[in-house]
Amino acid sequence: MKKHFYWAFVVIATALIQTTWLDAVRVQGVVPDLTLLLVVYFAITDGEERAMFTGVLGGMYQDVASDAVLGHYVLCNVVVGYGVGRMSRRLLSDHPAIKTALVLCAALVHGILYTAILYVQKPDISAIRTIGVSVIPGAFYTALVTPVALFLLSRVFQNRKAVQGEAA
Amino acid sequence: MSIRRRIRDYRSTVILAVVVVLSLGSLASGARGGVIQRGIHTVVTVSSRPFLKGLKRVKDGIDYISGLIVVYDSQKREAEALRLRTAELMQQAAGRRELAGENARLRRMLDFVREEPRLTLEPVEVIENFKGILKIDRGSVHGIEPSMCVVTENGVVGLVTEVDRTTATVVTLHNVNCRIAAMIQRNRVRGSVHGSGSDLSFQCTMEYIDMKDEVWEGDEVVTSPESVFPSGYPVFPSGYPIGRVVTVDKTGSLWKAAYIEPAVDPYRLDEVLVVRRSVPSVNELQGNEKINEPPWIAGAQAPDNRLLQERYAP
Repeated sequence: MKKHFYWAFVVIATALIQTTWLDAVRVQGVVPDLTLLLVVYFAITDGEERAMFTGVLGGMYQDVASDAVLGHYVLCNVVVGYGVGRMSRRLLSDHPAIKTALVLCAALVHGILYTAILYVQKPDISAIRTIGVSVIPGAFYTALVTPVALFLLSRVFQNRKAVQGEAA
Repeated sequence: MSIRRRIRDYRSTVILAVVVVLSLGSLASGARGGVIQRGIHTVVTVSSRPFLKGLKRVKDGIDYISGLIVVYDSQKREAEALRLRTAELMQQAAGRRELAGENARLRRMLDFVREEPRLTLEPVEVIENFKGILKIDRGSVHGIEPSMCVVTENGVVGLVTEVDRTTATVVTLHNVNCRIAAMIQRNRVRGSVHGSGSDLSFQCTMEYIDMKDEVWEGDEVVTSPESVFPSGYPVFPSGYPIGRVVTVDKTGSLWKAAYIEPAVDPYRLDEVLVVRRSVPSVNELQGNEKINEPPWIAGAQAPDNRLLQERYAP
C-alpha cells in the first residue's frame, strides 16, 4: 500500500513539474515529456498495468492542468504504456541506449497519436507541420534527458535491478 | 473458461480497452467541465495546492537569488562603467581647468597688450624651461632677434640671447648672465639687476647703487630707459616692473646692493610676450613723466639735495 502511495506521489509530482517548472527548460518551444518518461519507466520495470495506471493518473493531471477535454493525454499515455510494457518483455539488452531508443519511439508514437486526436477534433491544423516542429524535436529532447531521468527514478524507487531489466 | 478468468488472464488488455473507450467517449463528447472533470479538477487543485505553493516559493527564491546575481552583475558592470566614465570626466575636467587657466592667462595677456599701445608684442609659448633659461616656439623666421625683451603682464622675464630658425633661447632674471638696467621706482635711483646665480634662491641682485641713495625694503624696482637697441629704441619699456626690494646690503664701500624678489617666477611660465618694438611715450620723450606714487611715500621721494657733510653731520 505504501508503495502505491509513493508511486501516486511521484506521478503527481512529475505531472506537477511537467506543467509548471518545465517551462524553464523550454528550447524552441519544446519541452521534454517527463510523464511519458515515467510511463516508459514503469512499463519497463513493473509492466504495462502499472504503466497504464501511471498514464491515466499523469494524463488526467495534464489534461486538467492544460484545460483540455479529459482524454487527450490519458489515451496517448495509456496506449504508449501498454505498447512499451508489452514490448519491454522482449527486450534482450538493458543497455541505456536501447532504453533511450525505446523512449524516443514511445515519444514519437505519443506525439503522433496526440496530433492525430487534435487533427480529428480540429482538421484545420497542420498535422505534418506540428509533427515536424513539435513532436519530433520533443521526442529527441525527451530521449536526451532519458539516461538522467531513469537514473534518478532508479534511485528514487531503489529498484536498480528492475531498471536494468533483470527483473523483467 | 469463465468470463472472470478470461478477464484476469487479459487484465491489462481489458484495462487498456476500458481506458481507451472512456477516453474516446470523453473526447467524442467534447464535454468540458463535466462532473467527472470538475471532480478531478477539484482533487487535482486541492492536492496540488501545497505543491504549487511550495513550487512558487522555490521559484520565487530562485528568482530572488538569480535576481540578486543578475543585479549584482549588472551593478558591477554599471560600477565599472561609472568608474571609467568618472575617470574620463575627471580627465575632461582637468583638461577644462587647464584650458580655463590658459584662457585666463591669455585674456590677461590680451588686456596687457591692449593697455600697452606703445609696445609691439609677440605672444609666444614656452616649450622648455631649465635653470632659468626658457626655450620659446618662435625663431628668426618669425622675426625674433637677440636682445629682444621678454615680458609678461606681471613684469620683466628676461632677454632673448640665441635665436634659431623656429626657436629662441631666453635668459631670465634668475640666470646670472641676464643683466638689465633698472631703477627704484620711488626715487629713480639707478642700478643694474642680474640673477644671483643660485639654484636655491629665486632672488636677483640690484648692484651699483650709490651709497648715498635711499633704497628701502619693499621698494618697487622697474626698468630704466638706459638700455637701447642699436636702432635707438629701448630694449625694455621703461618703468616696467622687475621686482620688489627684499633686503639692502650696505657692506660695500662705494656701492650698495639690493636683493630683489622678481615680479615674475620664470619657472611658472607657459606663455610670454616678446617685445618686438617699444616706442617711448610722449611724456617720457619730453622728460615730464609723472609717476603715480602712494601719498604715504611722497614725502620720502623728495630728492635729497643736501651736501654730504650736511647729510652725515652728527
